[in-house]
Amino acid sequence: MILFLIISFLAMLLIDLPRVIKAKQIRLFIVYGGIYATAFTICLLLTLGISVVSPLTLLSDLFKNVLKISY
Amino acid sequence: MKTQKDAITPLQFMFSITCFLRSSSLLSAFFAPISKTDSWLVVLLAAAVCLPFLWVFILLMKAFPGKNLIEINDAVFGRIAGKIISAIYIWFFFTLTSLNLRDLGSFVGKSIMIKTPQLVIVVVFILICAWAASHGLDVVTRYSVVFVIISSIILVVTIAATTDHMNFENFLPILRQPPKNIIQSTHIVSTIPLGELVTILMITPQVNIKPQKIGRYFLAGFLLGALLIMLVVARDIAVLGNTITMFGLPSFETLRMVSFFEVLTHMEILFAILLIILFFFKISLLFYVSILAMSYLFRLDSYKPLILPCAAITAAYSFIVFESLTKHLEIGRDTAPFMWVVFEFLLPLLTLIIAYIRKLPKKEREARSKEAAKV
Repeated sequence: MILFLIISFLAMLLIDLPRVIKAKQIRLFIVYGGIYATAFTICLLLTLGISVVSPLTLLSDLFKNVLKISY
Repeated sequence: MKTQKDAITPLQFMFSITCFLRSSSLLSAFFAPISKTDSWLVVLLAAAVCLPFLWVFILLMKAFPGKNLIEINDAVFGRIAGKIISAIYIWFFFTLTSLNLRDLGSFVGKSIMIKTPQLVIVVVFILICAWAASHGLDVVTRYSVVFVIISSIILVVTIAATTDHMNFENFLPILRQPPKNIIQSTHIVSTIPLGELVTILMITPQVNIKPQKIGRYFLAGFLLGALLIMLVVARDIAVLGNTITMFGLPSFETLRMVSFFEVLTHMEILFAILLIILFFFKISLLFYVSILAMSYLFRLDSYKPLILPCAAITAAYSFIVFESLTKHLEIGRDTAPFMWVVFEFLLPLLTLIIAYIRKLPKKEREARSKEAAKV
């Protein structure tokens, strides 16, 4: 499964990297790198079976348990 | 970033709104168990409640012609605060995309392709939606008219075919449910899905129409979509009655009862086809809006390089967005209506108020007239 993940992300890089390099924009390179790294990290954590906290659940708990705003 | 290729017609815009709303009419599991046989009335009440906020959206569109939500935030709140608020909106857009993707994956995985892992369904689907988004807004919204027509035909046919099973006494007595349930259900429907139209503010600059006239198409799309949702819910109540609370997908159960001359039966396949078609549209549009917003936030020339990594994030997020269906229903009924009010109503209203306090549309007009005078 991890191998499949790595192959998929390598394929993604092969598809996108030429376009990103051709654009010659540092900002694009940084943004793409940040999003790519985030995507790979989350997918890797899920593949390894490590539970990732959902921001939606956190926000829901904040509204329900802290702010006491819920039905 | 607006190109000729990305421009859409007013009719595409209008039917995109209708299709966007229609895609959520099949999932009445959030409010049907609460308002039960008064759910049809709840949809009408929610539409009425949403009208003032739609007016806020229209005023924002007219005040800032040619600007999408991210650009409006920058103009109104300033560079830093505008970017923070835009980042919050982008999280909201990605969350909506992931929620819808997860719902689709759950439905297809549990009802149609039972032995196929949900991961495969989700990944394949998001890749298709990403492919559609990569070709621009025109491609994403081009078939909105066809989808609305198909879904309306299926609605009319199923209403006609289930007439024998309908009992109009199921609607009586009206307002049987306690006021708290009606208020809660109205709140839920007004935020999921009617209020989600705030995402449309990202594509309004790409509509080929004068800003003064965009409001009528927005409103027409909204009213048509709300009407279709109401008809679907009314049909389900007429057929299922109080048992509507027992089913996670009432429309699915209603269509099970459809049969033509005892030859064509189990027409719930129509529900499945319709759900997939409409979800494809909604997820493609939400995904397009999400990556477009991200590209505007980071001031990139094009959103296209972000498509694949954002698709990966969306697919992964769809698996972590909630732990179980029970948690999803709990969030959808209890807290999501309050959370979504912030993004769908409070923030746009605040944006409009601050814009008028700062006299921003007037300043923009003055700036434009000064530039025109210099030329």
